[in-house]
Amino acid sequence: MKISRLKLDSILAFVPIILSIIGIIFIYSATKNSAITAEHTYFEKQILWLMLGIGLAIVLYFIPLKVHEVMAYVYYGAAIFLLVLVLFVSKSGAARWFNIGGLGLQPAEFAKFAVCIVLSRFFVYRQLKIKKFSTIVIALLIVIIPTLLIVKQPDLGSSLVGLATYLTLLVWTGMPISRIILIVSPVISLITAFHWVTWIFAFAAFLMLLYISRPGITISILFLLVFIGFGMATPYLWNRLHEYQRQRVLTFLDPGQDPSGSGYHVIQSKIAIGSGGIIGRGFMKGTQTKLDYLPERHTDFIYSVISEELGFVGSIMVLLLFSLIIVRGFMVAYKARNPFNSYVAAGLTGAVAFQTLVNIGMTVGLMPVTGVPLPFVSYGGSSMLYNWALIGVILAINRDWQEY
Amino acid sequence: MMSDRVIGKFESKVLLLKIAFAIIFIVFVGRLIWLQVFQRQQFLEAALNQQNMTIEIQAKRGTIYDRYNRVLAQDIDSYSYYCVPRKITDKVGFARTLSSILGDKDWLNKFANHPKFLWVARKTTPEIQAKLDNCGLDTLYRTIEPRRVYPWGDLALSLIGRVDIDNIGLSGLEKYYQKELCGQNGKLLLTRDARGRSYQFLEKPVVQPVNGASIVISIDLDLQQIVEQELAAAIEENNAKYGLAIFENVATGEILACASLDSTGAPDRRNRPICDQYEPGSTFKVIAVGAALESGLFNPATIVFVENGKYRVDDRIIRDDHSYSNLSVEDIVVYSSNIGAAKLGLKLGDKLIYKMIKQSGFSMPLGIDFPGEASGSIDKLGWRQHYLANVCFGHGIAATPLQMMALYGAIASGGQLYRPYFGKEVIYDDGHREPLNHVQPIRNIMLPETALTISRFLREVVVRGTATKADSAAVTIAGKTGTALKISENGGYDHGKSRASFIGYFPANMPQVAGIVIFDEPKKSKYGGEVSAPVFRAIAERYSMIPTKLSSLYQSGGIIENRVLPPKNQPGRKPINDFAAKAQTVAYTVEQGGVPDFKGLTIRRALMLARNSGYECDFEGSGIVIEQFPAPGELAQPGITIKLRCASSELSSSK
Repeated sequence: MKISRLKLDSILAFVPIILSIIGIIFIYSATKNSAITAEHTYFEKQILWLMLGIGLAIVLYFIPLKVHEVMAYVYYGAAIFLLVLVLFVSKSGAARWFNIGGLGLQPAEFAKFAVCIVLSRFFVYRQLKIKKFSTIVIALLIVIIPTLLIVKQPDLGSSLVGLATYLTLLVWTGMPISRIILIVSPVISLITAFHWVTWIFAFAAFLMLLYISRPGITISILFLLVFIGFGMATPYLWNRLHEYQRQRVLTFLDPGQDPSGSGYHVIQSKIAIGSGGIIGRGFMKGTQTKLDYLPERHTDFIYSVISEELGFVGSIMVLLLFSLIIVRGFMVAYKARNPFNSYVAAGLTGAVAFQTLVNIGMTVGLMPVTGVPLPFVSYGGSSMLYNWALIGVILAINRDWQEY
Repeated sequence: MMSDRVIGKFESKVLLLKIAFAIIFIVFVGRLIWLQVFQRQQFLEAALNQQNMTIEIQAKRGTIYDRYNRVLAQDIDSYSYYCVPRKITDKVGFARTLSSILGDKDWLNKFANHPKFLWVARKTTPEIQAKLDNCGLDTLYRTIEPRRVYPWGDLALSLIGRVDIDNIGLSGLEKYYQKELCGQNGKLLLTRDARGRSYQFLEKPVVQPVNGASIVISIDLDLQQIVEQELAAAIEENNAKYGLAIFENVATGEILACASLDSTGAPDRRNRPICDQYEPGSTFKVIAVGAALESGLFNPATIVFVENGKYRVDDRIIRDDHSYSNLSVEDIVVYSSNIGAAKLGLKLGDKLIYKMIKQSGFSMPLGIDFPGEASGSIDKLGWRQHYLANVCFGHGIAATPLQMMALYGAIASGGQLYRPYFGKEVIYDDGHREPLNHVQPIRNIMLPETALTISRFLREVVVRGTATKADSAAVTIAGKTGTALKISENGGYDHGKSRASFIGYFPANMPQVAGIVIFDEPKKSKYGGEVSAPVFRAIAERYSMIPTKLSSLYQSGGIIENRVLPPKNQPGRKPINDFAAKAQTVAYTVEQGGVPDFKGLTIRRALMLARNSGYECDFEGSGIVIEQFPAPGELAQPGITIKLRCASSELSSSK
């Protein structure tokens, strides 16, 4: 399994390459003959990004892991700085990009990486007090700051990745499930508060959870207040959401309500995937793709293109390739003896798993449309660099698994 | 350095992740199977449904030509306009512009009801087209659709019929020959991208439209025009409710003209000559007379006592308009005696009369190629005496004008009844032609001798009887008048309201065109001899004055090809208005021309021609005449026998 001299995990090294090549092939299919001339160059650009990504992975592979641990807060500070900067620098409506030499770079991608590193370091240093709620809350604060900055861009999808990393690390540090649910409870309150009946049920469940986990009187009262407060804040927050974000939530609940408007993405994606059948309509022959019905087909909905043209066979193949990366990533995290390394591997793998889940879930109509790209496959430079960076780091962790 | 407790915790979290991973993986695979295997068909259809658009390409409908290839109905390209309402941004402005050109048709409502596609105006005239092209609405699209035009306007409208907006025949010949004319609409499969506006061709038309075949009908536009002009004039003069006329080629049964005009002289919705039935009245007397002559009990000179104008049958009284005491069989026809006809019938009995009526084609459709032909009716046998008497002068039965015309046509052609028809030929898109109908003799309704005798009577009717107003110096006319009183609301006959008819044929010596003219409720006079006979005469005169018109009918009948009849038989050469001609009308001899040309004629027609020109003839073989001795034009003693050799008509007439 390993290329002996480099101690390279072949699965973690080559599966992303296969996925990236599949991505480039289908970006070509998705944008060839497009009415928009700019789209014709996407697949060429993606090849360039892949080269850069692999290069970045090689560089990170050779950087000692200790460097990341030492530099964790520097990364974090840099990420915050860039996220603030991009809000001011960017001129157009969506403040996501730095334009460097014609290549758009998104600080959000770097922030995802930095959050994982800094959280891992934080948990390592708080290892003895890891079950303390203060640890959990401080860690949450660490995540929340960049997350809110990303939300402000606005990029709801990327902002959720940080929270996913946080939750993965909580699980990985051995936090009891009841605690984790307690942490998540304000979000549950937020969501269930759409209707008072659901909220009452959630509230009852929350009280039972408090009774079982017994976190202490102060913490209990604090979470109780937070739970109620979030429930009451829902209508306010709902109104603060952007119209398109609100629409996405509503359409996720019922895509049919506006087939030509917000539900359009999901309906067209499902038509594309469904009409692919078992063996697909053939490469370059997906009519949903070719006739522009599928929106965002080279980025967020690239999986629909693959499913339409390669059918069930292709869909499962891609799903299995991601499964390989995710399983392998957690295996690396599991066997790494250094806790920091283990946390980093788990957090990064968790982020990949989360993005895969949300993206594919979105294309098959199981998740709301959040604008999360599919790792390695979707078109996007920063995303490519981020994903290859984490592969480089995980490979390095795998190489040094015995080090403590 | 890690303790077992820590490892234990690790195990539990790995288990947790394993379970979560397995659940998510299974849910995703399940979802994919659901979408791509179980629901595949629905999604495939949904995809095709939004990506493909079939547009029907209307096929060009065939042209209708008259017998001389003049266009009666034709498709021309025109523009139709449509819009896609849901793509219109300024609906109110759009609606306002349309209203200013096409009138207010509640456009906004239409937009709402047909968001995907709405015809704005179809098959526009050039004026509307110019306005719509220049109205500045760029989301108003146009496409070419064939539009039906009738170059002669309303001429023969009730006969030709009309089509609906989708070019489907609604009435008349347009309806009857829908299958031939309509062609096959094509289908264009367009692929539509998500932007909706750029329709690009993915493939060639799935179904190429097949243009409809053209048809040639037997109508002669000239005669049709004459008939309609004369009818309209007479309707106005007599203040009639409606007028109708139908004319056929005696030799073939082809209809040459068929008109039906209402009280204003405009074309009727109904094609009455075929679709209406009426009480034929006196024109029906030829049936009883024919049966009488065939029975051998009567000859033309047999004298019948006609009761001085009043005759009781059962408990009814039959009256004549003019009272006579004795009339010969000939004069019963000539002076149109009801009592005389009734007495012939009573003498012969109902079975014989009934047989004669049935074999003459009454009370059943003749099978003309026109939708909605009426059949006429007659009571079943077991007639009471007065019913038999009534039938003999054309009361108590119903017949179509078409049937009456066919009867007189049969008499004119020596007893042969032909099936009347309109459709002559169908011309396919590739120029290939096929006959639509063949000349189709139905049966001999009477012996040639009987037919000749009745022909002589009918000529006498015009010369000295009830229809002297039909007598013409230009063309010899034979025929019979009819005046059928209309049944009033309280059951009896209304003496003020009648159907005045004249049925006849011309030229009398060599009949070529038979026809009927009927006026409903003429106010000036109720009599056929007063109202209809002059119209018939006018039509016959005007038509026969068109050079080569009558002679060409022979050729078109399929009997003679590419050959102009010898001029010797041209009608109207001889002054026939003098006394001698009146006395000897049928025996019209061709003195200056010698032996007539028999070639191409059927035996029946040859026999008639021979009789009319004073020769006997001797046939060899059957079918149509191919050789004769003496040759045409040779001078020969009247009364000699001409030898004619015949051959099967199929051989020579097969095209």
